[in-house]
Amino acid sequence: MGTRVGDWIDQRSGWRDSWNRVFLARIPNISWGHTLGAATLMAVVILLITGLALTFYYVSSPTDAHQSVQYITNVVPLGWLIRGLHHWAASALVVLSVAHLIRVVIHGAYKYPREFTWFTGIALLLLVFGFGLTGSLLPWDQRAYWATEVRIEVFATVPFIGDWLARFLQGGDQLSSLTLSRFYSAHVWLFPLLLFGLVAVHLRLVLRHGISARPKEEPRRDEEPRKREEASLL
Amino acid sequence: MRELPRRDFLARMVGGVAGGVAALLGIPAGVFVIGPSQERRTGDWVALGTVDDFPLEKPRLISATVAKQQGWVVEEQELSVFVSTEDGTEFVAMSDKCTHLGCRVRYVDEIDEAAGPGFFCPCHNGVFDSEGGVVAGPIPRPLDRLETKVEEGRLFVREL
Repeated sequence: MGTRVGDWIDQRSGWRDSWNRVFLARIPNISWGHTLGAATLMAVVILLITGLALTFYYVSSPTDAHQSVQYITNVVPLGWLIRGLHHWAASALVVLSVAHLIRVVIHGAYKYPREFTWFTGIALLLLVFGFGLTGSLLPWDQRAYWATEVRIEVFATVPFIGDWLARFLQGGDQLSSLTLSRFYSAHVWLFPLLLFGLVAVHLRLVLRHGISARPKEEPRRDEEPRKREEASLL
Repeated sequence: MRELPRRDFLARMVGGVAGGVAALLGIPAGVFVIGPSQERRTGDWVALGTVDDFPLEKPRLISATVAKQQGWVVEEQELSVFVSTEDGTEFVAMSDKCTHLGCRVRYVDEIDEAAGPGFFCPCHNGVFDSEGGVVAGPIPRPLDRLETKVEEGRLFVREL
């Protein structure tokens, strides 16, 4: 039954080709470090699902924001779990993204022909920081308010455009309901849309180029003459 | 028993774990989104006035402001109720909300010669008799009643 429905859809969509290309791809000898990209993507999926759920109750107005978060945490069934998952998956995403980046650097996987994959990855990392900046204001408690205040002060120190940038982020000359509103909009609309696009390109490129093999450890050919030369100098 | 190739076994294991993770995430998200939406709560007792305020001859429409907690917000709402009484001691309180699609009904002394007095809903010509029973139109059930009590000469109602 399952295969018959699958065949019927496959004849009309060719989904099996795509499926096989992703899940039955031939891969080189890889390490646990190679799973960090997929782990990062998993954190993104968890954040998407829990984030979508949170918008069912969250209200981004200064009079309601904090109370709606309290309502989510204390009243809505499993609200503590959904909010907790969103909170901790956000932290995990930052850690996993950076670990993934380090793995790519150590294996030299950013080199030709994968430079563009690397660029989209860096853009994604910046986007993750953007999510963190905008998301941490949304609970609208003391910590959220003052942490954001400090971050905006940091942006204000950028040479030449600092003042303009700080005003742009705040939506005015101080942190206010306008800031909350635009951070919310960026957090749930602008950034997720950019994220979808960039993740799509990033994954498409990973499929196109395949997984990079680990660099081989070969002795340098000029090793012996150099050693002899060093010995003679001593 | 048919032998299961290693490749198929692993594929099934991976599929099973993936399904488990999806359920672990999807079910709590579903429970969260449904949330308290299905909770049924009885209202608080609302004072409508003294027993003398209600005439014996026909139902009187009376409104009261009720503070209702919706989520984290306490909303001031208007509660409109038709109160009728035959002897000034036993009271019937009926919601003025039509049971068809929720329009507000009004009391009419004579809807037509056959029906006599009753409640009329202008949206789809629903007709209730003066006790709230179904007479004509697309109405599925009689007007909803509220619980009543009299304490120290004052009439209270409560939404069920």
